[in-house]
Amino acid sequence: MKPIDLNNLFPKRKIDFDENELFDVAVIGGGVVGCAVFREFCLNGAKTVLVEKENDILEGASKGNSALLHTGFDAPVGTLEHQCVQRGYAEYLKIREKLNLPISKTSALVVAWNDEQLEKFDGILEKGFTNGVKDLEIIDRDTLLKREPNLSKDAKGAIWVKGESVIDAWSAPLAYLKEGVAHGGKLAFSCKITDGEFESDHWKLNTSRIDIKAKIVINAAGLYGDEVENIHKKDSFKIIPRKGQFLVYDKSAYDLVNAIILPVPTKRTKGVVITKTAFGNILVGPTAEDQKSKTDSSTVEETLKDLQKKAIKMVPKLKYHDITATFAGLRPASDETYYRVNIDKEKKWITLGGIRSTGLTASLGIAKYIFEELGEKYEKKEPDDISISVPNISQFTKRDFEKEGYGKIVCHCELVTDREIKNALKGECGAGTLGGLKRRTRAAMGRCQGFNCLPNIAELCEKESEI
Amino acid sequence: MINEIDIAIIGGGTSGLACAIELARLGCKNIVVFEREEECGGAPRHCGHRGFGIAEFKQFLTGGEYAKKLYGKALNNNITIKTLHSAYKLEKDNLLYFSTPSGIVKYKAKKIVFATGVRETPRSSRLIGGIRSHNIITTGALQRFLYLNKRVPFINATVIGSEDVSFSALFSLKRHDITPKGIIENKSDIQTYSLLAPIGKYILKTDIYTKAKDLFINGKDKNVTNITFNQNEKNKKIECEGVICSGGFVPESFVLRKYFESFNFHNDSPHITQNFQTKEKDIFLVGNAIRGALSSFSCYYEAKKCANAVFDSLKNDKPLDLVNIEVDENIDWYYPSMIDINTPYDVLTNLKLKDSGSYRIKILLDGKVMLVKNGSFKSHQKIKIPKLNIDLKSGNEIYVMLKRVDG
Repeated sequence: MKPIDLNNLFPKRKIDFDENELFDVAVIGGGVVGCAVFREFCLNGAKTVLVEKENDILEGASKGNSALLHTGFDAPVGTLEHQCVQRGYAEYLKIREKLNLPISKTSALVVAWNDEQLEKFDGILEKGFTNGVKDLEIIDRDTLLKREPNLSKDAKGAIWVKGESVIDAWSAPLAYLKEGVAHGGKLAFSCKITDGEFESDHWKLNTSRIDIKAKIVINAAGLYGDEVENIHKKDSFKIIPRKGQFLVYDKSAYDLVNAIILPVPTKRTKGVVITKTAFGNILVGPTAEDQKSKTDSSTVEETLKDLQKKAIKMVPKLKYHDITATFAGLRPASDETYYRVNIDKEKKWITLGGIRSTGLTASLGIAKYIFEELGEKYEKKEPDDISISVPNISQFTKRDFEKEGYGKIVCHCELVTDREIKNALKGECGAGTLGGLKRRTRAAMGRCQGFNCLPNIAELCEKESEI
Repeated sequence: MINEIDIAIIGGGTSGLACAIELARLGCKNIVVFEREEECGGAPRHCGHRGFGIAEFKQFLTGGEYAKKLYGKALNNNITIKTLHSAYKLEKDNLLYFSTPSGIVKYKAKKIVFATGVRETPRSSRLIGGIRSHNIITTGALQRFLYLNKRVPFINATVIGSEDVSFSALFSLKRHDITPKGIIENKSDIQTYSLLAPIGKYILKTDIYTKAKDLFINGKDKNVTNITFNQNEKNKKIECEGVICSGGFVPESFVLRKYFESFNFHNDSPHITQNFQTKEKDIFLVGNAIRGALSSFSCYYEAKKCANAVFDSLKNDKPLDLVNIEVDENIDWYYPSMIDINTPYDVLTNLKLKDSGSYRIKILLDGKVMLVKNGSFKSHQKIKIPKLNIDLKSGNEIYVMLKRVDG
């Protein structure tokens, strides 16, 4: 019988350029920020390469977050973070229809559970207005409980943040990647940066597979941003991974909350959120634990049980629902609370360090900001109407299983067809890891966690991958 | 366009097929079995061991052979079988929605039987700490790899759980030269009393660790390297590359969960009467989907009973007059959870406890003790509570009280 290695179903992705290529821009890191930056430079005509140490995008912090599009109402006032969040929010709304990216405008409720938290409301409102977020409103306990009948009666009141929304955190960066590639962008996966140096007018990056030359380097390496930064300048910031553990409740719990339930934030973290997800589940989390390791994303039973208790305290009926999945994301937090962004115009090295908590929303804003700040001019390719879109896998619009012509449903829990899985394996931007395949389709992410479908999915990966 | 049929059976496994076959024998026409996979047969398809069909066919078959035989018998009885039909929604007036390769199709049936089976509880639902890895799988996935896809996912593995299926996993490993590294059980005793346990321990030489707490799966780069746990205050470690989360069967009842407001949270399935009827007289539940895995043999005979109840309901179509049964929180599952007093019953309820021990079980009718059952019960045992010797009336409330009498 033939063995199958579920952690190595894909070959290393092809690289279709050689070491002589001189790129305008090399983006290090295939997380949501790296993908957004890659897209921005490609769309503007720069010869760009995305360099990623894993075999697919989103293998770091970008794979495990709450998938919320933030208005920036609670961002630190007057910071670059705030500016990028607001710009990223607006940009997402502008481009999402063309790219077929989903959104659910659930709005959010910052809920106070005691008088001390209630007293913070005026301050939160003021901060929101200062931050340019006008559609905020304090609602009283009666109104709150009418809107959220399943919230614990301990709730005292809430601030309604009308613009906060739920999106699909994985389809967005995939769309950015695809658009970049469609405009000539190149990909260098399974390329871990080992060293680099500045050679008079360009950078030479040594990686585990191929050397890459680029006039501008953008460090969007997330958890490894501090290590990559040493190539440019030693010890400029330190990444202190902050683990966030999550619970994903069964779809049966979906109607228990309507808006995103936010806690009153503290300095360290946005706090434990209860939200609907784009895939029809309820998400609870994240926690916040600082740690040394950049790779340890293990979950801890005690922490998960504690998180479960917290969730049930806020929404008591959750105790009647099963937990479908658990995961831990590692935030690439730095030793300061603000974004560690630096633009070295002389050496053409851009640092995007310590982007955590708001990276998903801010990514498109960060991309625009650094492109403008750099001020480089490129020749935009004509025609500019290459139509790129990603398949919808969210609950918000029609899904593939509702359209005829597929062969069979492979993942029954999430109703994922063989057609979707094959498409997700096709092309340059196809999946490069089993996790990547799951994120593109929702396959094996359901309540049975692969009990029915894992072997078939694994075999499809082996047979149909085109990378 | 809505297709109208007499009987819709959702699920073409043992229960669904057996129910259809019996209904056909009773004279029903226009029966359609809907199966979401490419072929019928259900869980037995990926069970490689023999022992199926002893009572039903007087043969000693593998699961795969048994599934084929049942499927053949259904076809011989002119039962329509629609494969690649995934039921995903039920609406008022018995309206069913299916996703099929030819698009969405709708069916309206006079009676609907859900025989949707079970799934195992995966790692994440058990809140087991540690790394995430694709080498942490359920027995179902393991057996599909080995028997259907013919692939070997790892060279050794630890099994979590000690139910019948856990030993099934052990046998599957051994047959395919995958070294079993141990069986880890959270509770204080092995969760099965068949001969499988001593065979596993002494013949297959696999250590069984009971009272194992605080499991943690360690690994590097998504590869599992070992599993640690705590047994009687001692830290233990088992080196392994694969982890099999076995058992903890949960009914596949999502469509019905969305449909019914009230749900039996002990079982994780809708409330049913002694006649397998849910709170809606036209919707029935049968097989493992009621309460978790029974043997194929038990499902087959239960499905026949259900078919007779469906047939009666078609002929007489009486409304339901329900007396609800509520139970102590330490009861794992129980069925029926309601008695329809318009039809006879001979067993009040069957139940299974969460923990082994000595108990006093009291049955209360409107607060008054009607029956007491004392005994020493194992947590994997099905306990029968007999019919009460007083006629039930509309509005009665039954409560099953549990009191542990040992230390």
